[in-house]
Amino acid sequence: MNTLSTGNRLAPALSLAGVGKHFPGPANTFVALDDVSLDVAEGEFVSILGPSGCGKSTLLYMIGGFIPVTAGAILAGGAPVHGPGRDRGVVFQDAALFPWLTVRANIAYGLLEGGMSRKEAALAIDEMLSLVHLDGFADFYPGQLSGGMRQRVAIARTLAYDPSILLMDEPFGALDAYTRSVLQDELLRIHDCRRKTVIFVTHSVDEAVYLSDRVVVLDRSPGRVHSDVPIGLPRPRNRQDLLRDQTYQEHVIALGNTMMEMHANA
Amino acid sequence: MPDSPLSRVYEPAFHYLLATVSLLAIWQAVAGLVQADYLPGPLEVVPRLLEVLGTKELWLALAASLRRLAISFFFALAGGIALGLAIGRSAVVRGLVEPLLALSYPIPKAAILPIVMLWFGAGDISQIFVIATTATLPIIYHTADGSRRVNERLTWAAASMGSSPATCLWRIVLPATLPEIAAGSRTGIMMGLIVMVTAEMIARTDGVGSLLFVHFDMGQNVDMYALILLLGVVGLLLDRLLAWPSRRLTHWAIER
Repeated sequence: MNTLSTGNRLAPALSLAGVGKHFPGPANTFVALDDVSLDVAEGEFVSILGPSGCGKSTLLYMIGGFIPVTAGAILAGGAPVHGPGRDRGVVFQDAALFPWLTVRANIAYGLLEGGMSRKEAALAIDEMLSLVHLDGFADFYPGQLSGGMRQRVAIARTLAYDPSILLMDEPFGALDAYTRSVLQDELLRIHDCRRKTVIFVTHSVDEAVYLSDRVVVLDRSPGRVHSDVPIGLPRPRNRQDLLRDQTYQEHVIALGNTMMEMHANA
Repeated sequence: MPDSPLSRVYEPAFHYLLATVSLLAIWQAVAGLVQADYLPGPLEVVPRLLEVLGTKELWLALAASLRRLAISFFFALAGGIALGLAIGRSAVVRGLVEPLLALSYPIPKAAILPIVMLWFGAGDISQIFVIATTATLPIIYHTADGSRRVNERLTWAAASMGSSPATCLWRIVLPATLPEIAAGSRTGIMMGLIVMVTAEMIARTDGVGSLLFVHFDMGQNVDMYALILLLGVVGLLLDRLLAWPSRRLTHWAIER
């Protein structure tokens, strides 16, 4: 509750208080996540970093309202989360585009569900397509696109209806290294001009440091907040400059060591 | 040019033709060896079929059969999709209905026709009931299985964009299940065609099955063979007819 009454500071865009996920089994209860507390300010880009099996995707799905929490509470924009909502847009690793709809119709889905007219939607779709550099692909089906292009469409589909929080579940995890860095740069560019609150799940240290204002490291069995690292690198960011930046390098090394330790202890 | 566009069209057509001609040749050879009036050869049957195609009697029978099959298939499709989705998406419905389905699947539906005729009489309703229950089972099974395996991230994505559970079912689960529904429909209509002929043979009101038994009673063997050949062709055409809308509705699944 102290998060809501911190005097002159703005209320957080997202607030997790003692969030847990327990799966009761026949013998003993499996604790996937335990006592995760976290405040995310509006416009902040926070990465959730952790080894596989630490429950970072589960945490994201609970913020999305797709699966219920078994302990604690999640507040988005000050309101308790009880299910999915248009304030929290998601981008999944597998893009999860509707394969029977064209790119245009995929992006239109969220706009029309929000009550926008087809005419307005058509304009918004064109704008989104040029934002993600996919002009000319409006009438393609997802099956005709590469993995990277599909992920661009997924980002466009979610940004189009303007949710205040963006939840990204290892969105670039399945892409090749080159496509991955191109999309990272585009995400940075989009974040610079749209300033969404972003929760970005990843297991890549470089990616987390490169993109984020803050990196929250989750440990596993049970999933708990291991550390919460402010990155403090200025924006807009440039990959070439950053790779030579000492602060960047130190974060990558420190977080890399943390990850190695967690793997060794597992 | 093994992969030229021309050979892609002509090769299957050529195989089709080759298979048909070989089958007819074997049939003719066996018929020539046996030399019996219970096994006429295609040289006798095919001309007879063409002759029969000029009679009003045949077209009336065919029209009655196809009308019956179309009505049955409509109910089978509507009911099968609805029940299949309910089973696939609700654990409660699945638990209640699946044992009943498993029990009723192996029962030959033609075997219950006499009982159904006690309820509804020998007319159309009984026959349509039996054909529809036969055709709907594969549609139910395929729809249930397909809708159960829809990637949950698709429904999550839709829900996060504001779709209600009902909208998710209609706009996400149903289209995502279309490939399975199409597969179930093609099996269903064939099973429906088979049981339709049997039902018409038992009910003896009208239709191709009934006409077949009229020829049997009158010892017109060549006509019986001609009708059986015709049923094969009808089945083939029905399958092609269903393949067309299925391909249009599910092209996105093939291109992946």
